[in-house]
Amino acid sequence: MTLALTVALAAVLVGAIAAIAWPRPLGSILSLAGASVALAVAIFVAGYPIAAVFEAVVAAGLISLLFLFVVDLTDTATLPRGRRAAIAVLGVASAAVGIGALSMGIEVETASATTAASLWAAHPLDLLLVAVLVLVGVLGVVRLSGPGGETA
Amino acid sequence: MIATPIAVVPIVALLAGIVVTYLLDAYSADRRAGAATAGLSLAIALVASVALATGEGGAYSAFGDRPTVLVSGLGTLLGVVGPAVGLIALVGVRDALDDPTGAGRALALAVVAGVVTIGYAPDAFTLYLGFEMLAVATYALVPYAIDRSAAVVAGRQYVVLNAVGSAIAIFGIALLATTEGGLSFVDPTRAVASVGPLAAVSLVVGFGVKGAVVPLHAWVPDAYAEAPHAATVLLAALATPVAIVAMARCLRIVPADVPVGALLIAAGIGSMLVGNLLAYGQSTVRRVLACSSIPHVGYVLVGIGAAFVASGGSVAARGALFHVVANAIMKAGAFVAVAALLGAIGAGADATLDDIAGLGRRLPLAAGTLAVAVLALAGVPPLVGFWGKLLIVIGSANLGALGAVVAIAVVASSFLSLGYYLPIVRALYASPDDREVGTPSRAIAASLAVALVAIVVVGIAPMVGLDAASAGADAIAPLGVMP
Repeated sequence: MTLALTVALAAVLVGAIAAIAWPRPLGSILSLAGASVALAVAIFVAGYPIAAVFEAVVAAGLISLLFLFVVDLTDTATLPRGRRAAIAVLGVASAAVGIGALSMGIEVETASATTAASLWAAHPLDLLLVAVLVLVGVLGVVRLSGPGGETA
Repeated sequence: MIATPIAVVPIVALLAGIVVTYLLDAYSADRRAGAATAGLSLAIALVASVALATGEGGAYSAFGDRPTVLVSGLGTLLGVVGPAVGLIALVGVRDALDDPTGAGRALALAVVAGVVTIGYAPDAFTLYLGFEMLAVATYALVPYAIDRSAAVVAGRQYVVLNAVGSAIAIFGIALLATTEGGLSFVDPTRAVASVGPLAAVSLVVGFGVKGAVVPLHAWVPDAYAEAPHAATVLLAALATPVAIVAMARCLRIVPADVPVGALLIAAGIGSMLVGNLLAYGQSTVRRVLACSSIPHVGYVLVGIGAAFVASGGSVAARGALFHVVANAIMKAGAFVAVAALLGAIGAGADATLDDIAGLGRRLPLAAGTLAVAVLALAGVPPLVGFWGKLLIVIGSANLGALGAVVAIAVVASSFLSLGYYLPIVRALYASPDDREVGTPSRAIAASLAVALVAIVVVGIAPMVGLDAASAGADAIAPLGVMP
């Protein structure tokens, strides 16, 4: 395994464990989003750019958004300043690790941009599934932000 | 390679159904148009899968040489079971997903689309897309009743645990991608690789969260009890057991130096024990049925585990797959029946056995379906829940002491489950009831009748299900080792 892959996979594990163990939902969301970014890097370095794009768009973006909506419905209490600072540090650290690993990954795969494009063309069903999956996530947000949410 | 474009019809019909159903439900004044579209897309997927089951299997490529879908016994089996359960849920308890945003029915279709995609996926990445489709849809379906705080809290717990599970699952798939064998299910190989153990554990844990494998089952009681009835049917009958199928498909291409079988058997026996004990501790009907799903995951796990330990025990794999189908039929029948009973007496998710006491004579179809379904879930012969367990026990017989442990665990778990299933039957028929009760709609009566007939007929004549399970078992049984 390349160094980039090792670093990215380690970041995924740390982020996933933190997402479960973190006592407050906001920390879990940030940890999970960081883990998803790191995972996208790992998949990219492993040679599956289409899967990496999917992971970054859907897992890091869409699911984190859904996550936020669900947490928002539960009317979570405001966190103390120390906790907020710790969460911010974790979020920034996760992003830094992800971006750092991403930059290493891009060095590895820079020459294969054409390959990435052809992969999209060779995965028509996957492309369709990702498009509808994004729609499904949007429908989830539509539902969770629909009538009835204010009274939860 | 096969040449028939029908191969992509099941998935494409459902994906198109999601889009069109949402547009009709959101922008048409008449909700029947959306319901009809959803039903039509499910019917098309079902019929296409039946047609594919009668033809030759193999990979189909829409463009170029790369497989778009893999038509196999497993694909056609899930392609029939998924839409069939979807029809039972959407026709029988469709009102549960009627909301002003119009998203409910489309989300339910997305669950079925995910299940069908898992069946037809030609590689682990496409399988993961199907799994994620299923997962994202249920993230919104579990906390669907957002004006009830209990549902929202259940939804939060479900989303947190399952989102992390999904991340761990694709982590395992990413590790598999680095191996010589790659991600393909069309021409799978299992080259020995150092990442094997970590990949195997990641796949078991990642898919195990959605599959409610003990100790990753914490979300089950609240999510099943608080979700709308139709969503609970889809979760219990499809999403949970199919997550185990997805796990098995991926474990099949994990590098061969990993003792996956023993891990699955241990997890399966733990799931039987803990699930049964949890079910005993529940006070509401829906929560009892919810917790009783965990032992059924255990049966499937030990069947697949026995197949892996035997390095190709196809009888145990057939038993596991047959039980996936049986579980879908039984759980669909049980939860639709509960929806009918609770709807008739105007009770909510917190209804207890006392609330449904005596309804057996007032609502014979709903009560009868629930009674037969729980007896089948307990494994009473000759109902449909019996045969999968029998095949799992027979398939484990050549494993020596481990096989004996599996057999004792399966039989003991079945007897143990009678302790919480029989009180449901007794409550329904023990005492007369003179309450005013509503009449279930014709749609829910039709769904109940279909489920009841399936539980009894597939039980009495199991060869149809066994043949289908035999055709699909290869897709979840272990591969040979590539040196």
